[in-house]
Amino acid sequence: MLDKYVAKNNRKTAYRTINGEAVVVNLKDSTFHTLNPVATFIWEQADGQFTVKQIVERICQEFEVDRDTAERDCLEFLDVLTNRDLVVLSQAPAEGN
Amino acid sequence: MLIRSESDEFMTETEKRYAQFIAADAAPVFSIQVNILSETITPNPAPDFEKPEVTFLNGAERGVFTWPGLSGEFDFIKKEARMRCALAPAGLNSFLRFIYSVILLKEQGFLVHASGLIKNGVGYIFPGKSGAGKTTITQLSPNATLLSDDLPLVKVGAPPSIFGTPFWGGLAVAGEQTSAALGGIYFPVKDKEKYVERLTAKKVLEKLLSNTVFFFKKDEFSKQLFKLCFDLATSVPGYELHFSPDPSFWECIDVR
Repeated sequence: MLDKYVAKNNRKTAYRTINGEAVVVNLKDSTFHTLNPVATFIWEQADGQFTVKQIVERICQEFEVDRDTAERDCLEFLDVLTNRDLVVLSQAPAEGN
Repeated sequence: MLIRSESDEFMTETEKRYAQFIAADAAPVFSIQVNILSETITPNPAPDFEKPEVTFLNGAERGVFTWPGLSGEFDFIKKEARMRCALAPAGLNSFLRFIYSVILLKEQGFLVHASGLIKNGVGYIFPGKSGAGKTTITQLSPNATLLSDDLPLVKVGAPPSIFGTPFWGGLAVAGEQTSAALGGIYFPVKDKEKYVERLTAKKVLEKLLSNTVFFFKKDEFSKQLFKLCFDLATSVPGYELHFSPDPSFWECIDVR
């Protein structure tokens, strides 16, 4: 899991960020999700160019949080996003970025 | 919108239903041919605007629409549709709301579940689901111009504006065919006290999305609608309006 690349599922989502917090719409079922600042940070890093491990490292740099907590929270959040089809995890970085 | 039918009874009912919005000399942007399945007046179908079945064919321009007691085909390139329904006004109303929802996107506009009013030249919307107090707000506002107690039209431009529509809720009265710049978005909350609480733009967006009809099942339309909601939430101030059934709630709004 930690070595996988994370990308937003752009075909199924739209989002906007207001004052550092994102609102994400799932276009397939018209549900929407509001993200806190840390979740928004993860969402914005999910461009297909970074692995989960790299995103965890960036969270530690950006927010005052220890690595274990950052990793646990990041994995939990990505689990929710993948279950809702909002992000995709892959073995290779996304092309075209 | 040009509406045609061979049923005189249907046309009479339609002219009566949309009397305030008939424009005899306007060029139609879309035409609907209505075929009446039975001349027997049937009860209106359940007001289930949230769940029409819309299927798009070959992209976003053509498709079929079904709703209790109604079916139809639409073509947004030819700007025409055909509809079959029983002689029940709610059938055409449901179809019109769908057609307008798509057409309006190109005009930077959308329909929102809200009551809409103009007071002292300023437009206001009060979005909420059934039971939130939309109709109550309009009943408590005798000095305001009614735009709709259920589904006004909002256009996101400079400035964002609100328009009257013939789409009504419990009030069963069409709005005025007029418009005004939108001065505020007030989400009604029934309470014992009256006060107004400013909301963040993010909260306004969340609440707007909850009261906007995302039934397209078509990504490009949903993306456009989401963008319009975002633009509105970040350009017009939004509040929670706590109110009791008393017209004095306007005091909280008028001071802003």
